[in-house]
Amino acid sequence: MKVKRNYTDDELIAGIKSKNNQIVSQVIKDNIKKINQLVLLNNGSESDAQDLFQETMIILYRKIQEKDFNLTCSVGTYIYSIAKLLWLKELSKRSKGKLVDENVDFVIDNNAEIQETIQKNERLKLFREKYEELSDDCKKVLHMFLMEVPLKEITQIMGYSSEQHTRNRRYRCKEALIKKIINSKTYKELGYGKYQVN
Amino acid sequence: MENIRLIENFLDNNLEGEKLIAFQKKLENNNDFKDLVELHKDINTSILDDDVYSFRIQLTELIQQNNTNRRLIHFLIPVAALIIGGLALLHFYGETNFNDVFSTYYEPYEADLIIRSAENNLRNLNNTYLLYEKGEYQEAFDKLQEYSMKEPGNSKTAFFLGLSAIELGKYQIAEESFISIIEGAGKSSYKVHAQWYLSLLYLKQNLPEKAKPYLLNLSHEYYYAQKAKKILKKID
Repeated sequence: MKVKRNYTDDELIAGIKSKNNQIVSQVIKDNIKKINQLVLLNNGSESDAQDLFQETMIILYRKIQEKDFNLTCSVGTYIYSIAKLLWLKELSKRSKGKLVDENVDFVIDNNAEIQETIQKNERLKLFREKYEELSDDCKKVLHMFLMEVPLKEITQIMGYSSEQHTRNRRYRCKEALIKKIINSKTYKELGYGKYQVN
Repeated sequence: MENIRLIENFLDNNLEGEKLIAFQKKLENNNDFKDLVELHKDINTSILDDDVYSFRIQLTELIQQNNTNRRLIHFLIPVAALIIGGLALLHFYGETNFNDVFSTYYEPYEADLIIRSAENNLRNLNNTYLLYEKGEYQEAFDKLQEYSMKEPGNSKTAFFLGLSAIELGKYQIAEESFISIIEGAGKSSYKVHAQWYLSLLYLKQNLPEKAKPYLLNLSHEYYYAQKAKKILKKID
């Protein structure tokens, strides 16, 4: 039978970084209730709370992967700060007013670097969602090109008639993906500008 | 589509000479074009963001489990105590049958084929892969052995040869085929799939320690991460 143990912050960070199931589960267990409360007490639903918690963990995961990542508070505090920033951003989109818990201080002095990660995550999340909507063939072709699989091999794997056909397929798939992205509601909020695909 | 072609060539570092100079000038002088190139770059980053995507899937599962666990705990504490006691005994006295693990996770590979080739050789090869897909493993195996002798470095042929060999119980040939792909030079998308099927092959033969290093590698790979982690739990 497994014995419950208290992990140190360093162990938690290392465990999240390596996607260790046990540690990630522990982090979820330790933090989900507080973040649910943040959302439910501030104009959010249970489904909002679940989405917010997931995005918080994703932001945390992205931050931990950065070379110069340095935790200067507890993991729990850091997680809560990310959640609060995310929810504030969501509320300002929905324009529902101030947070109840606004007296809690931000432990992170400069949250600009977290804001940057949040914005980057928003873009990547949207693009990835639209990519997952493509056909399996399109996903494979685009992925293989970016993985620098040789053109000859991609052509063989996909069973295409020629390398030129493979290239054209890639451009058509990319075009389809871009159209999906720029036609989405979320896209305009990301500030890339208006494009026509040509 | 001309813009897309141009931008992808630029991002692939395939633009040279005057074309590259013209492109860079356009980047400097046209903000809309610059933003479009940034968009392409970010889209490409997202396509390779497999690591975060697989973490997202893992989180969904774990959050779901956490929610289920919280509900269960309130109602099943006495039953859970009995179950835990029983499981502990089973774990102590029982043994994991890795052949069962193989049966749980093994599925024939779904060949991704589009038969459009005008070339005879490629069409014949595609027909051979189709034999595998139809379940005609002996015929596929015989033909794939021929092809692999003519073209030893072909990852796809080696891969399907390995798969056919598993179906026919020719485990040594299967193992050699998959290892040749994994240790082969250059990049091939079949390396990941070869590691998966090699791991399953070892489990089939009750050799979990041989499967483990490949599964550890796969636990960081997009396609097989979740399954690999589940199997590793059983091995550990």
